[in-house]
Formats: sequence, C-alpha cells, structure tokens
Amino acid sequence: MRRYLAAIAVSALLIGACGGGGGGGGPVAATATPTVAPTQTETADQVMARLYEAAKAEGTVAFYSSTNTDDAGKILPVFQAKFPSVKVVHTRKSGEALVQQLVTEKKAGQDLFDVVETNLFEVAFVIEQGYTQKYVTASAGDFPADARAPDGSWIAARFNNDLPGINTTKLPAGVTIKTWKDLCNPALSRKIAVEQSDVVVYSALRKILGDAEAQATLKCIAANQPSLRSGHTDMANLLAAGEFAVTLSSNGHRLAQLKYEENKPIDWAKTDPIITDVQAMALSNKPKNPNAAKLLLEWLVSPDGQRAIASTGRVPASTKVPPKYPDLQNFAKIFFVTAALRADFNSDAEFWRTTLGIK
Amino acid sequence: MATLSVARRAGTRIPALRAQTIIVGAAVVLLAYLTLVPLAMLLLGSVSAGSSVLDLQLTLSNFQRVLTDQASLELLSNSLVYGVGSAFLAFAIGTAVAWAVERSDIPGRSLWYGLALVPLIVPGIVHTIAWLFLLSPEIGWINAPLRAAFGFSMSIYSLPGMIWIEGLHTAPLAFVLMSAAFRTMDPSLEEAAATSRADPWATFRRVTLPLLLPSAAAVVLILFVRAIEGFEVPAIIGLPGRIFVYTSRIYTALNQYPSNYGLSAAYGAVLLAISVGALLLHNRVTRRTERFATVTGKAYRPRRISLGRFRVFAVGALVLYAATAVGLPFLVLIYASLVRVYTVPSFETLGDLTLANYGFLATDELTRRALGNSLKLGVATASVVVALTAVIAWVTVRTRVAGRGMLDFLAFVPITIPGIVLGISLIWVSFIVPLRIYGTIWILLVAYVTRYLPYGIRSATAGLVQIHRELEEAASAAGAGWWPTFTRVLLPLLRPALLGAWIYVFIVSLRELGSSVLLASADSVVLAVRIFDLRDSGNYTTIAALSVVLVVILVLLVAALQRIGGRPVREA
Amino acid sequence: MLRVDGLRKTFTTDRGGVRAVEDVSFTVDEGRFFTLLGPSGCGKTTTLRCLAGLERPEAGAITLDERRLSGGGTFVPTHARDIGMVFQSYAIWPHMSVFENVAFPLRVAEPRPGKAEIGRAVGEALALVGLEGLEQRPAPQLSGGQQQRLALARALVRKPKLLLLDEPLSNLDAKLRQRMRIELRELQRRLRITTVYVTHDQGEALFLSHRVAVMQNGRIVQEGRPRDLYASPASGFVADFVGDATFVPGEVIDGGVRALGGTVDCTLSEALAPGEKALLVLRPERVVVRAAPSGAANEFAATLRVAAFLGDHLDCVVDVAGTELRARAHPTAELRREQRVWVELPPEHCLAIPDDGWRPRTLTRTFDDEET
Repeated sequence: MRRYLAAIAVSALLIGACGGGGGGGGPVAATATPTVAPTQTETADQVMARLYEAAKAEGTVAFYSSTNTDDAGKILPVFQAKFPSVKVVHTRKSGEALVQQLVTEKKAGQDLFDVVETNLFEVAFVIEQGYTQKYVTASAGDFPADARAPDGSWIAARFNNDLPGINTTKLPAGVTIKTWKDLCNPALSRKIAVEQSDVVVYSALRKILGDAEAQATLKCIAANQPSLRSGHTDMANLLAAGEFAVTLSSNGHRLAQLKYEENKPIDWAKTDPIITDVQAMALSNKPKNPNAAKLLLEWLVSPDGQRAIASTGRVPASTKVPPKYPDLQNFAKIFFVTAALRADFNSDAEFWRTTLGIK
Repeated sequence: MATLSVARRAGTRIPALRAQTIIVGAAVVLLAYLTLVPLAMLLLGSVSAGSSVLDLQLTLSNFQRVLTDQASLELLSNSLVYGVGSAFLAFAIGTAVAWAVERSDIPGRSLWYGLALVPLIVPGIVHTIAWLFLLSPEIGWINAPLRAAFGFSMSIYSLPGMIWIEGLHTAPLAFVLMSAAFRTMDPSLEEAAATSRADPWATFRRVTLPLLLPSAAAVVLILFVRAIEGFEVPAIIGLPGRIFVYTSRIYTALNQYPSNYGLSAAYGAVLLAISVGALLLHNRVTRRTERFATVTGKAYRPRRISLGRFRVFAVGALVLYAATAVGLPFLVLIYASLVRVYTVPSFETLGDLTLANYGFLATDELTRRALGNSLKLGVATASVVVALTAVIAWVTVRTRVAGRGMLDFLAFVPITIPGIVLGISLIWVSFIVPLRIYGTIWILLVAYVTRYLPYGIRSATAGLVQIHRELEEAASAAGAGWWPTFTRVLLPLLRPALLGAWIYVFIVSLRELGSSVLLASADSVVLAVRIFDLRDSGNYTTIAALSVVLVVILVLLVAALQRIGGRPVREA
Repeated sequence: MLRVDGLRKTFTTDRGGVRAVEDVSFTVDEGRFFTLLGPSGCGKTTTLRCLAGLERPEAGAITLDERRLSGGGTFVPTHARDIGMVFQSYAIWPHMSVFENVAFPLRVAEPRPGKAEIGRAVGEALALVGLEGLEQRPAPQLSGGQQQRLALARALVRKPKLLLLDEPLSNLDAKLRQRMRIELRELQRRLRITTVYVTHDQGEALFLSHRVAVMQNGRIVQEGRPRDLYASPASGFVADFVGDATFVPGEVIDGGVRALGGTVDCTLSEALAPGEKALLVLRPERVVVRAAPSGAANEFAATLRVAAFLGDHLDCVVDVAGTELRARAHPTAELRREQRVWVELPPEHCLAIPDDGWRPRTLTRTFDDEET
C-alpha cells in the first residue's frame, strides 16, 4: 500500500514538473492585450508615438528577417535610437531556413516571431498557413502597388534586384554578360555560382522568356556545373573574393556595396528586364509583442526607416526615398515578383532542383 | 520477541529499498523520455503523410521515395564513401602518430601528445571553415600559389575534399584510441615471437597485426559512425559542391518549403539504421578485443623501436602534421578575422588589416546571447549528465534492482542517434507533446543531455567498477547511511572520472551543431548555430573572428579545468 | 655451455630511475639449471633479456656453445639465437589456438618442417607438459596453469640449446606453484636442457637449481650451490635473502663473538679477525627454546614474548638481554607469555660474518612492482 502511494506521488511530481516547466510560453501570447486600432486621421508619426507608448511595456520585438547581419546592423540601431525602450531581436537566416524555423515553431505551439520579413514567395507561404494577420500601415500610401497587398496582409520595405553578378578580373577574356543566356558560355564552366533556393528567378524567367526558353536556359547553365551556394550575401562576397567569375543572380545592392564601398572588381549585367524580388513583411497572427511589432512595421515603411534602408545601399520600396546607388534605380524595365508567380511553385521547384542536381 | 525483531529489521530495510525503487523508477522514466520518445516520434513521423502527426495519415511514400528514388542510391553511396573514407584517413593519421608517440623513440613525446589532442577541442564548424579558406578552388591559401606555380588547384567541393576535412578533424580521436591500444598490448607477446625465432617482419605480420586488428576495426567503426553523423562538413562543403549525404539531405528536406518533415524523418530513420548497424558491429568486435584483453589487461612499459636514421623524417612528418592540423587553420582564421571582405592575402590587404570584426562581435546582441547560452548549456548539460549518470552507474554496477540492465541500455542508446536525427526527432516530439519548449534553451538542454548521456555513463561506470565495493561497505559498517556513503565516500573517489566526463561533455556541448541547428531560435541561439547563420549571411570574416575567440576560450577553459584536476580529455 | 663475461647494461626507466647491470659474469654448464635470484630491480631480468637478445648490452660477452651471441662487435638478434623463453605473463598469443601457439616457432623456421613433422613435434611438446587433447582450444580459454604449460611447450618445441625462464611461476596461486615447480624440475632433469631461471622466490631457487647466483644492485654478490648459499652466506643480504634469519651485531673476540650480553660460540667467517665488528646470522629453525636449561653450550636465559602454534613446532620470539630473536620450541612444550625460558644457539649453526653495515628491512618486502 505504501509503495503504491509512493508511486503515485512520484507520478504526480513528474507531471507537476512537466506542467510547471512547460506552462510558461504559449497562453500568455494567446491572450495578448489588444491594441488600439489605427485611425485614418493619424499621421505615421502619431501612430508610432502611440504604439511606442504601448510597446514600452513589451520591451522587445522578435524580427525574423533575411536582411543580412551587416545591413541590419546599420538599419536597426536607427530604430533603437529613436525607440530606446524597444529592443529588436533579429533572427537572421536565408529565406527558406527562416520560414522552416518559423513554421516549425508554430507547429510546436510556440509563438516566437512578431514580424517576418523575407522574399515575397516565402512570406506568401507563411500567410497561406494562417500564421499572420493583416495590418495596414500609416505610410502604405507611399508604396507602389507592386510593393504591398491592398488588404494589408503584407508590405515590402525594400526591393532586391536579382542581377547576374560579375567579377571583372575573373571573367574569361571575350566573354560578355548581357542576358541570362550568356551564362551558358562554356568558357564559364565551373566559374559560375547559383544560390540554391533561387526558384523565384526561374519562375520569373518562365514569365519573361516563355517556358521552353526558360527551361533551356536553366539547363545550359546547369551544364556549366555551377557551385551551389546558400545565402546571397555569402555568394556575392565569394564572387568579390574571386571564388567564381559570375553568379546567376545576386542582390544588386550587395554588388553595389562591394563595388563602390569595398572597391572590389565587381560589376553586374543589366538584363532586360531586371528581375526585382519584393521583400515582403507580415505581422504574426499571435504576436507576443503586438505593439512593438506594429511599431517596427510602421517605422520600417516610414520615410525615416526607408532612409535607413537606403543608407545601406539597399533599394527602399517607398516612392519617396531614392536609393543610394542610382544605377540600381534607373533600369529600363523592371519585372516585379508577385505572389501570383508562386502558383506553379511546386513544379518550378522540382524542375529547378532536378536540373541543378539539388537532390 | 521474534516477530518484533523481524518487523524491526524489515522496518529498517524497507525505506532503503523504496528509495532505490523510486530513484530507479524515476531514472527509467526520465531516460525513456529522453531516448525512446524521440525515436518513436521519428519513426511515427517518417510514416506520416502530413506534416503533423495529429491528423494521423499513415503512408509509406516517404520510405518509398527514400529507398527507390534514383538519387537515393547516390546518397547512400556518397554517405558510405564519405564515412569510410574519412574513417580510414583519420585512422591512418591517428595510428601513425600514435605509433610514433607510443612505440618509437621519437623525441618530445609529451609535446606531440598534447599537439595531437588540440584539434579535439576545435569545433567542427570552425575547422571546416578554416579549410574553406585554405582549399577553396580559387581563393584558398594553398590553391592560389599552387595554381600560380603549377597551373592546377584542388577543389575542396568534392568527396575527397570532404573526406580530407572530416578525416583530419577526427584523426585525434583515432590517435587517442590507438594510443590506448598500443599501450595495453603486452610487449612480451612480440618478444615471445622473437624468442620463437621469428624475424621482425614475421613478428609484425603474424603477431602484432592480428593482435591489433580487432581494436583497429573497432576504432574504424567508431570513426565511421562519427563521420556519417557529422553535419558540419556536409553542410558547408557538401551543399555547394552538390555532394549530398544523409545529414545534409535531412537538412535540405526541411529547408525547402513547404518543409518536408516526413521525408526528413525517413532519411533520419535510414541514417539511424546505418549508425545502429555499425555500432552493433563495433560491439561485436569489441567483445572480441575484450576476450583478448583477458590475457593481459594492464598497461605495459612499451617496447620502443629505435628509429635510427629515420628519426629526422619522423619528426619532420609530425611537424608537418601539426602545421596542417593546427597551425595553418588557426593562422588562416586569424588572418581572415582581420580583413573586411575576404580576399587572398597580398601586400595590399596586409596593409589594410582591421579589428572591425572583433568590434562587431563585441556589440552584436545575438553573439553575446549565443555565448551566454552556450556557456549556460555547457555547464547545465555537463552537470545534469554527470549527476544523472553517477546515480545510474551506481544502480547498474552496485545494486541488484530489477530493471538496472534496462537503465544501462537506455543511457547508451543515444550513442547511435546522429545529432541531426535527434534534432528532427525532437521537432516531431514538439509537434505532439505539448510541452512548448521548442525554440527555448530547454529543448537544447534536452537534446544535449540525451546526446551525451552515453559518454557520461561510460565514464561513470568505468570509474565505479574500479572502486572496490568494500570501500562503501566500510562506510556502512562505520554507520553511514546510503546518502552519506554516496556523497562522502563514493563521489570523492569518483571525482577524477566524473570531472573528466564533465569537462568532455562541457566541450562537446559548446560545439554541438547537428541538433542545435534545427532546434535553436533567436532566444536560444548558441555559438555553433551563430557561426552557421553568419556563414549563411556571408560574414566569413566575422565568423573567423568568432572562431578565433571561441578556440581561445575553449583552450583556456580546458587548460584551467585540467589544472583544477581531472583526467586528460578523452574522446569516447 | 653458456658463458657470460663482464656484462654491463644501463638504462633509465620511465620514472627517471637508473637501472644497471654491472660486471655480471657466470658460467652455466651443459644441462644445468642456473638461477638468478634477487629482489625487484636487482638486474636479474635485465641480465636474462640480454641473454635473449631483447636488450643490447653495452659491454661484456655472451657465448653459447662457442658461438659468440653478443660482445666484441657482434650482436646476434633474438630470432637468430637458439633459445626458448617463457615470459612472466606467459605471452600466449590470444589470436591463436593452443596448437598454433606451439607450432609457431616451427612455422617460422628455415627450412620449414613439413606438416606432418610439425604435427608430431607439437604433439610431443604438448605431451611433455601434459596438455595433450587441448590442441584446438583457443588459447585465451586456458587456465593460468595451462597457459604456463603452453608457454613452456612453445619454448621447448624447437629443442633449443638454452631455455630462459622469467619468473614463470609468479602468476600462479600457491598450491599450483608448488606442483608446477616439481614438474618443471623433473622436466629439466629429464631433458637435460641448459636453463637460466629468474626469480625473487628463494624457495623456488633452492628447489630447482643446480647453482644459484644472488644479485643485488646489478651485481652478482654470491654464486654457488643452494646448500652452500644457505650454510655460508657471504653477507647479511644473502643470508637474509636465502632462508630465514635473525641478525645480531657483535664484536669478534677470541673464541667467539661478544653479543647477547655474553659470548656466543660460533663459526667465524674467514675474513674475520678479533676486534672487528661482526654480524651473527641465526637461523630461527636452529634456535631451540626450552622451559628449563639443558646445559648445552651457547645457552642463554631469555624471556618469551610470543609463542604461536604452527603444527610441527611453536614459532617463538624471545628476548635475550634486550635483543629479540626468532626461535622454535617443541610443539608439545607448555609455554606462557613473559615466562622465563632458555634458548640454545648450536655453535655449528651459528655463523658470524663481517658487518658491512647492512641491516634487514623492518617491513616485509613486496614484489608486486617486480620489473617486467
């Protein structure tokens, strides 16, 4: 009898310990305090002032963004200086890894992110899963239609120009890159790199060149045995260091940074049109720090935040703030990536992976 | 009167029995949760159609894909070639160095011993990135002059490249294990052959070699398991080179979107099966060695072979090895940590060195957090593992409680679970068990404790077996109860073994990547994951700075801890 | 015939100590059993290993049947010497069967004997040591005693000119050791193989050997037939090592030694002259204790300190004028502690040797750290 009681006591203890240990996170987030709805009459500054007051109690905001650490290190301190009581915690991974982490957390019952910011494709997927909520920012009017969803489900603070990057000292003599097809030049065999998650480039090429031509282009690029990289910044840096001569698609701003600020032998192909990836942001459906999250969103799209983004060399999405490097703006023709482009994502991804040998 | 005395005797015995039963029961439950639940979830996950077990739809499509896919054959062959290749390379290097140190009259024996162990402390990801700087096809330190002089270069993005890096990194493990094998071999076995009039070659061929073969096979199998479960090299070298092995495939199956949790679990199950198979084989081979060892057992004064004229060459080879395994990688990291954007060194870049990367580390919130988390996790994991295994080992070695064999088995099971497989298993556990610890430091603690239990149990059991039971009985006879006996007699006697285990678990926790990369979030980021993410972001120079800091911290910590008292770091 | 002349070997051990063999010379006649006896670290094993060619001596010569094995610029490697050796750990190869272990020396021989010849020789060797029928047994499955026999069979299978035995009985338990030393003695006497044996056990040495050399600090301090060593030890060290003894310091006078509060009538070593310091060597088994005086020569009054019954005698400690002696009494004697007794020291068993300052160690020597 006594042994039986002891066994029960042990079980109770164990269960108690589990319950006690695990009870911390979730429910708090689920019953987050509702915030004051924005009104039409408020200016962006007024909205931010109001949100900041409420956000002070929250103290932090979890920002899941694929902005690389160097640039985030220039942008976020500006926010920090303005709103010292809200600390931005930046989780940095490339798009797919970021989304994988976010989705896994959600499935595991954890609400850890407040704002997600990465390629539109990935963000659209997160929105589809129902992990976000709509939020219309006060500065939304400053943004072109390509840079936001009218219903507020997402808005882009910045654009990524997906340009073939060139290391001018490593490019074999006589080779010029004007269009994607030029990357098929056998002289570039083993001298080319591809970011392995760049399915979006192929999806865009299908729209730009037509299915057959896009497939042929990717196949002949694959014949040059590209090095598969993970992360655009990584790939651009290695291009600058001379690890390869060209890339299928690098971020325009990083190329410009390397060219103008680090004096590296870098150039890029001005394709017709320029593929421009939209870096969408969305608000979590259960943010732990709802006010801080909205504050960060508002600020990033405000002229102030847009200027901070522009200062890194990245291309701000707002029509009111010009980019730092004019050659990233005055392109003849731009092809904006849209959420609709994701329609054939699965078959595009399958073709992309099999063609490039990402098994 | 008689009944009274019986009752009293029973009265004094029951509490002791019950304390034992409760402890054993609690340990079984805890161990089962740590080891069996993740494995069950992994298997369940691998046959789930959706990405959730809650809407349970069983399917064999994941396994069908894993087993019949055209690419899966290549995956299997890559994994095996990589595992076998690294194992043999590490074995060859480790054995050669061990032979020189243990069995030849090479000068500076203890210096070489120390140098050969240093790479054990260097995290795999740091080692891999250093070699990226050294052997990248175009910008590698070794390749650049090679091309200038001979017009060719070696690509690190190849299977041989991966094997080279992994083999070089695990060679110290082979060194430690083979040193032990050399030391425990009775030199009179060879002398007996000589007195039987066998010449030195016949002695080597017919006595030395066959005697070392079982230990060598065991070592190669351990190295093989280590290689196929490693994540650093496949992720950093294999992915860009399009050479996939199981660990990197598990990772990419998760990191495409939508994430294929079921597929990665299926790949995990296959990797687990290979790893379990290799370890079963290892245990069979080891039993054979132990049967051999019953003849001798103790450590001997080794018979050292005079190198004569070859001494110069042997020292030269060791210097070359030390330079390759320790010197060059550290040098390239220091250089890379001092430039802004990585470039092949030239007069221009050398004139433009900067401490900016270290400055970034000092101000970077996530790096600071990662350092804090890693240290916390290291201390917590080491302490939990050592405490838990000390109790488990006592139960399995000293008591006759039912189920003690189960305890030993449960604590040893995780040695077969590769880090990344444990990661995907714990993700599946998180989907089902509503503990809400995913993304927190707690799930990392669970993962680390699970992974390193076997090292703790091995060390504690070995330590306890050496302590004579009578020492405890003397304490009981002196009137000490179970708890004072355990804490005041056993623990102090076990101290060297436990401290050694503590230091080892602490170090390996600090560099764990395989499971952390799937389980850490911004809140629970750890150093290895921080390095991994920085790499994704292209910050090689920052990584180099962080690596230098990490290596310096680790070397200092190990030196300090060993000074406090403990056995030299031994890899299990 | 084995001849060793002026052997010298020095080396430092792992712990930094220096071990040496200094000027060791001896001769073993054809078919004789020769033992090197001494405590741990005395150099006996090193000497044996020099004979085997496992150590290379710095000086001195080793000659076996007129063949120079070592010295004078030659050094014959171990495998080219016509020897057989049994190691302290037996060194049975665990990866071979019993048969294979014994067959090994034949299999590496040049020219190699035929299969049938090997089978016959192995069978013979195994029969010699009583291991017939165990041919196919894996070697590690043998008991300690069987392994010892196997090692012996392996050493003998090629009928070597010289058999070297390095403490072969030290790893056996006491009963088995007794039996094995009888067998070993019989075997050697029957085969008449020249044998050099190393041990720290005086019982084994006396039992087995034709001649014994006692070694101390790398040198042979005395060599001779077992009974001579026992009866006429040259030093306290030898007396202590060969047999059991109590030592009493005294001074040589005319007709004896002044000690024990009187004069002890005894056999004087040749080197002793009156006035010199001497050490009396008293064998306990020769010192007789009685409850009443018998009137014999060399009888002293004493006080009994200890008397313990050991079956065939009483083991006693007596106090003679402040000096404690070990002695024996008849098993039926009725003795009580602190009782007054008389001890007799028979002059013919009472030896006085020069006192070189050596004294026995008070603690029992242990041989656990015997050199390997």
